[in-house]
Amino acid sequence: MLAAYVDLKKAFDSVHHYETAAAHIHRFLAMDETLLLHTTDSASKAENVETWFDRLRQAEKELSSLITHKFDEAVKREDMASVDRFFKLFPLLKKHEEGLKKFTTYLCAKIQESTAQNLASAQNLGPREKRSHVIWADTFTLLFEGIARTIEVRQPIIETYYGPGHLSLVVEMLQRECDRQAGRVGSEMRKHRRLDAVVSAVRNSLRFGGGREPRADQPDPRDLDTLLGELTLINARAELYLRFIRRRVTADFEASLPVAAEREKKEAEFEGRLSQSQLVCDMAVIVGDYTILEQFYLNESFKKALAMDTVEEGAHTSSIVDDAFYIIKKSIRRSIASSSVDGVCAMLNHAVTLVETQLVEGFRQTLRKGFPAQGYLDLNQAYTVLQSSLQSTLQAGKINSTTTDSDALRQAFLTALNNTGTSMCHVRSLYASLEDSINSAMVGLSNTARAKLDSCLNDLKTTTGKLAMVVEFGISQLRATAVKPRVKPWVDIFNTISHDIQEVLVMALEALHEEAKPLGLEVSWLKTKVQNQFASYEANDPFSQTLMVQVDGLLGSFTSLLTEENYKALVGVLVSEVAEQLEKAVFKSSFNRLGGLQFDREVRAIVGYLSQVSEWGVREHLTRLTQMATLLNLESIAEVSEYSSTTTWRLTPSEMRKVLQLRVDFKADEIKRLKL
Amino acid sequence: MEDYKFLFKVVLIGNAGVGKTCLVRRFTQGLFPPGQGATIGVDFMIKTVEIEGEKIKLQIWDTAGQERFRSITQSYYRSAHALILVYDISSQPTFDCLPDWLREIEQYASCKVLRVLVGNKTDREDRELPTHVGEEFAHRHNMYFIETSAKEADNVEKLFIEIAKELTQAQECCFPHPPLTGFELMTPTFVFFGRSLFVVDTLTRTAKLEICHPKMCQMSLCLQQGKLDQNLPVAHGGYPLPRSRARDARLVVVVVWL
Repeated sequence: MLAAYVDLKKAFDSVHHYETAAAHIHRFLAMDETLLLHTTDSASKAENVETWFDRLRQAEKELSSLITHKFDEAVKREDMASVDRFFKLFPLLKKHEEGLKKFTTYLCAKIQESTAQNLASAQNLGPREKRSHVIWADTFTLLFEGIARTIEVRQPIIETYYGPGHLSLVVEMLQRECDRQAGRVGSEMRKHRRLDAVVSAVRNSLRFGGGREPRADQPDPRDLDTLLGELTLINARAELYLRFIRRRVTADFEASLPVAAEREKKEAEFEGRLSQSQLVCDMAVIVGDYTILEQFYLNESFKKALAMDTVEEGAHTSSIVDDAFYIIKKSIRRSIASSSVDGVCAMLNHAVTLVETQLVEGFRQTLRKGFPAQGYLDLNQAYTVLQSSLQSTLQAGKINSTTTDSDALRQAFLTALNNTGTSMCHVRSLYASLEDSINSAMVGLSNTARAKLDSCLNDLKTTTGKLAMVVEFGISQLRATAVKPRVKPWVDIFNTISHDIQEVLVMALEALHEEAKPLGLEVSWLKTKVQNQFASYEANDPFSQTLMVQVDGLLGSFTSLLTEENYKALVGVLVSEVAEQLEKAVFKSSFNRLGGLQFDREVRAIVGYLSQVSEWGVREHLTRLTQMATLLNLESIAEVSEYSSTTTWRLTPSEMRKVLQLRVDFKADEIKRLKL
Repeated sequence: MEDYKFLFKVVLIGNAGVGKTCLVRRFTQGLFPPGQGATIGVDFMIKTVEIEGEKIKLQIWDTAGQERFRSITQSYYRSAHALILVYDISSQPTFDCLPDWLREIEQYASCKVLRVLVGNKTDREDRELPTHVGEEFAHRHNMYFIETSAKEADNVEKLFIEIAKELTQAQECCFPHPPLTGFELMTPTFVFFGRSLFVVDTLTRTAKLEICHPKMCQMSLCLQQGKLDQNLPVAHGGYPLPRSRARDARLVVVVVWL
């Protein structure tokens, strides 16, 4: 110990040996005083030891104030090497905290200085300079990078001389400086970008908006592009910085705190303070402002696109669909670039609102007006229409406008229908692409953040359901006015042709012929004529041929007007309408064996044709019809059970009985006895 | 995939510092975090509750009260199934702001949203707003009302459970009972169901129902006035039905053919 003191003395004498002195003091401080006192045998010696202790304590005090002084001097002189040199000595004197605080204060001063410089150069930057449009984001970036670099560079020294577990103290102090400096940069940015004025103008416009008249102080959405870009950049930089310091501090905790519970507690405390830091609050405010502006941008750009909505020659959809989704995608992508989960969620929500209130509702309104019938196929229909149009002509005193009006309505209807269907595709691809960019751009999210994003993304996806309902509504409108009334007269032909009579007639003629022969009368020409008629009917039956031609015509008139999906839906509707009406017609007629055969042939032709033009799924509609034909085409009732073993009937037992009853030659009680 | 029957979004709104976050924490975690900092942006919690043996998932969005975050918080109104508007019973200013909040709700929320007024902090000695004042306000604006204390865990569970129940009931009403689908109705058809008016679009044949706010149906009826028989009980659509009857799920009162 004596030796230690002597060394210390020497060290003091040679002014520059602070390190040696500190090392000796460190050794002294590591000793256990009381233990030493007890282990010394004699009382006199103990006394002696105590005086040494006093001297050493005195020396420690002197040294520590000397080092503090030297450190401060070095800071004043901006002598980096000395600052580092004396900073390393504090832990030897067991003055970790003081050393770290002094050192960090020095670092903070440095940060303050460089931020002041950066701010000045940002303020003096001319508007035409290269990066002037993002100069405030750049200034923020310089601040964040500066602090991050400081941590990066100083951490090894701190760890070597102070040991692990001290970083959080330094980081928190730096963070407070960061809060202050970011606040300064932020308020300069607000001033220079007139952010508060812009935000309040936009807020007013949104609040009293839906405004038909744009307010005088309302900015042009296009002018906001640059500002929006800068704001997202600022937050993205802040997020990057926060992630960096979180990672560093967590790693430091991991190195110093082996007990998990303790570590987690420390981490939670640190996280708690960080998440309530001024920087985080300021950034949230910036994201809040950004979101208002972005919402405005989205809505106003949509309004503009809607005002310029046009249908190009030969296009199925109008420009609004592509435009709307382009705008939506742009806005949400920009919010993703901000790295703010709340910002992205909010923009996803605003996009959903836009899709549902503007697109879905807009299309629904157009479709609600209906699809005016066109083309008159039979006299009756034409007559009714003529009458009503005469009436309306009389009332309105105009003739020509009605057809052009309904042409325009038809066009608008079909465009809206196509727009809705295409919007569904757009939503799906938008969802997929946004999910991708979120996954790649926003990494390391907390579970809560991920759940928030997923929930909002999912809301976007479910807008397809609303759109699908509108498509369904439109198709049903089309069915009501363009399909149903036209299918009806075609199917009506079915009932004008008997499926019972031919054979009877032939038989009657034969009988007549037999009777007439003895009388020398010549009726064979009549028989031949009837037979010829039937043969030609068989080869080229008028009903199914006409039906197919008409259906083909109807579909043909829509092929070029509808998108593929909608066309398929129309085909489906048409097929089921034909099947439904034909079913009804069948129940109104009666059949004999030959009639059943004829009907089977007709159904085969129709089903063959319809299957060809439609999708596989649509053929379901036709199965019932085919099965009815099968039943009506039986040789005998006994065959029903044969078919039952190989067929899954789409007809209910009672329907099957009803169909069988249509065969005039099937006995009612036999039908009744059938086990179905 | 979790198994639940319905998922409901519940959004808490109200001035800063009225205790929204504390209500949510109390309900979802059973905690009362003292010295809770201001919420930044929007917080998000999930809790599954059981209503009549069915699992109901509540997605609770806890929003920041500050004006600055309004664009973010407002974006959640429209998809919300229930909005909980909170004020502090010991703070008159938080109550005075309620009309502003209602205006926001009118502007942004769906018309069929369930609206609940909550007077929080009943544990406070310095009450400034008697219960009946809140009650009257809620009644006047067609809202549910409850007073809670997140600190004492008073009525917090009840608040959320009632909301879950109410929403479940409304959801189940939305699945029409068979008679509605079979009818050949003229379009559109209005059906009164509980407190709500439904518009049935029979053209789509699937009878998808939209629940409308009493105010809305008055509008719709007016729009259709040209086709409306003046003697039809429009009044029923124009005003909310009495509370007692509103609870009766079987109350399919009138079907109006237009």
